[in-house]
Amino acid sequence: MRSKLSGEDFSTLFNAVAVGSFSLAVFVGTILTISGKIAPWTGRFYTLLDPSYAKNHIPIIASVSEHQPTSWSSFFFDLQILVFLFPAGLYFCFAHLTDANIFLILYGVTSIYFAGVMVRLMLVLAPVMCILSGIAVSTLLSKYMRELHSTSNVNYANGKSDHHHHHKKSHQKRGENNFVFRAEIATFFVIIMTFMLGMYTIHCTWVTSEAYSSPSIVLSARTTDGHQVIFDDFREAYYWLRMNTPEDARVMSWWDYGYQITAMANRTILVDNNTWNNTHISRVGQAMASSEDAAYEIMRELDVNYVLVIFGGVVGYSSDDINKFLWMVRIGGSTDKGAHIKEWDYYSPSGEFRVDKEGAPTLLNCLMYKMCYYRFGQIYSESGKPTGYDRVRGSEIGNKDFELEVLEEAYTTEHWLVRIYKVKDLPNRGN
Amino acid sequence: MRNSLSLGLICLIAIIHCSSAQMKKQSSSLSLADRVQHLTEMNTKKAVLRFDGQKFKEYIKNGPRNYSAIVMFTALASQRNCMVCHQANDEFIIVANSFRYSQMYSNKLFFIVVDFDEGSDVFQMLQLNTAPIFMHFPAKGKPKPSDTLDIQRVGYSAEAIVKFVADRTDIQIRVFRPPNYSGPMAFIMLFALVAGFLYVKRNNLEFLYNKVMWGVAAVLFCFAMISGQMWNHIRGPPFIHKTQNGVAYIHGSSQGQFVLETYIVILLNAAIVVGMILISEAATRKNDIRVRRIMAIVGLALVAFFFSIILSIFRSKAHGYPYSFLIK
Repeated sequence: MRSKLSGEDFSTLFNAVAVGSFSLAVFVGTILTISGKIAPWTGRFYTLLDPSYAKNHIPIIASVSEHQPTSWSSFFFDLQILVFLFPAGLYFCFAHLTDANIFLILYGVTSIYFAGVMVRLMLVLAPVMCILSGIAVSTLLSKYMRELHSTSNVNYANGKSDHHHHHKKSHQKRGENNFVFRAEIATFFVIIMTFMLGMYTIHCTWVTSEAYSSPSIVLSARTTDGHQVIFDDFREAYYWLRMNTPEDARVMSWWDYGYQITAMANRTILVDNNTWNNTHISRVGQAMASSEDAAYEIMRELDVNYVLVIFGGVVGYSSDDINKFLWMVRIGGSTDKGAHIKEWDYYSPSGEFRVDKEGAPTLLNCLMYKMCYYRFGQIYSESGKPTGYDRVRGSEIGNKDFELEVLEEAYTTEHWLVRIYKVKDLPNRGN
Repeated sequence: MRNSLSLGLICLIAIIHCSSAQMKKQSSSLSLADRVQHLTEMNTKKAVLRFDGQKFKEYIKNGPRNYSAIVMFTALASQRNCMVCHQANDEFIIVANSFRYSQMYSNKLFFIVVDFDEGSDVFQMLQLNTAPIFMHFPAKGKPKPSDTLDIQRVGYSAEAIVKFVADRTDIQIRVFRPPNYSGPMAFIMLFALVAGFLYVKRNNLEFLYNKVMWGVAAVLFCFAMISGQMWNHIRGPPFIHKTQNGVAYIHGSSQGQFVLETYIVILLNAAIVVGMILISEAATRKNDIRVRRIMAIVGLALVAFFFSIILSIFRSKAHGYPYSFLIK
């Protein structure tokens, strides 16, 4: 076809076909989406296009830690010098626009947007971050390394290549005058650059060892006198579940521990880290946020045998279920069945989330609170503090003396990190 | 949000001046049927009835009623400077309108507002000294303590008011919020602006190929993202944090950041990048060697200095971070 048409006509035709097919695709896509033929996009997708979507509409997406937006310190934590080499690399790409560079620019700009919206998309950013920063470093170094070499060759003193013949003479002259300084600046620059790259390597090693190397299932901490303490409570609890419960037992826990329980305890769970089943997770959230009686109905409905909670109040492990509890309330209240669960009911009159005597009565009597703090009121967790002192929240709990009616304590691990309860059967006689 | 609420509640109308005219306590001059008719007529014009002291006594305080009234006591005059009152007023109007144009509209429930500047005698009579206050006046008898909406606890959103109304009167109102067109409108306006601009410039679209413009835009966008502006957009942190010990510009942990802090980070990053560009320009430009040498030195200094600053800021945020450069 190209041979039959003149060049101009061909490009017009090509543009028309490209624009036409693109708009047709958009049009058909829109129609199909509106008419519901294409399955609705998931919330995570919308969140990328409209960053506050999840916060306003789907708490389960907003609650996940890898869906959080990225703060500047986490960019710096993961990228260090790349943070400012990246814009410099963009600049150098713009300075020499080629098709490859335009691709890099588009890749870089779009992926840095996505990485800004969700911290997990840092992975999308990583390759282009390396490429653009590499461009920046190599552009800078290649210019100055030449200066270093020039100490032995006066012809290259001012870094000019041969095609400036008519300027060469004058430049050489000026170059010779400042020759010493040029080489020293170049040396100094190369030293600084090498230092920064070396520092980047050390930084990355530190980050890897600090944040990306320890398993989250075995925790370690240092005591005040420098000894290392290992908290192996998770595996202890899962092993107990595996050995002491019937094989078909159903375990209810918050979804964070779903995969772990499935894999390590080999028991059926209700909800797990595959969070697509929003309403089901919401139901579990409602059970945790309800009073014992209401929760018992939900647990019977879901056919639960055991309930597992993570409690860090004894050792001061801060990502426990009480700290996640507000998300359970929000997610529980986000569906129709849980519409009666209001976040405000769990705040103290002054609008704070607290577990001591000032705390909201709804909170102090909900299932999650009771499971976490059962018998906790009788033990000393820290010297110089009263019984029932929660080391995470830093306060003495407000509801100490209570008995569980529909549950019985089945197992509590060494450091109280994991507590497992058995759901009692229906009483033989109705009341 | 919690903070703004309690701040707003300090719109105390502490001094209730006794300037209001001595009103004779008169028994209601109108019969019940007349009053209901009047109220209904007024209600056809407006969903929320605005009462002064006299009307409040006539329709609410005195005499038998067969209708409930939800009364908002408020201070909307601009000199009262009560932000919460205005927000609460908007929510109240939404509830009243939802009721007014719904299926279960009846003359059993009226929405009434009493402004302090028009009915200060009512405030005095009921011993109210804050605003806004939502009270329910039941069809029979006097209001009990539970007939006051606890806005400290449940807030004053339309949903909270509706729940309160449902509790007190058994009338279920479905909140209908008028859809917010501002977002799409802004988008259409922007689109129209860009389209209009391109149309006006249609004979000279060369500027679209201006790589400096695109380059600056891309680098600025990159700075905005890297300094966590998106985080600010989603989380809405405070600009700075004021404490007893002074003002904190930098958030103490890597979990959070302040708006000003991100601007500082933009500046630091920009300074480093400018330094690098200077260094590179110094090697490629063809002008006076002196200028180029100064450019290279300044560039190097910028990179080294601002890199050490940003490193030390990061060190102050990430506790336990062991490395620093030039500055501790």
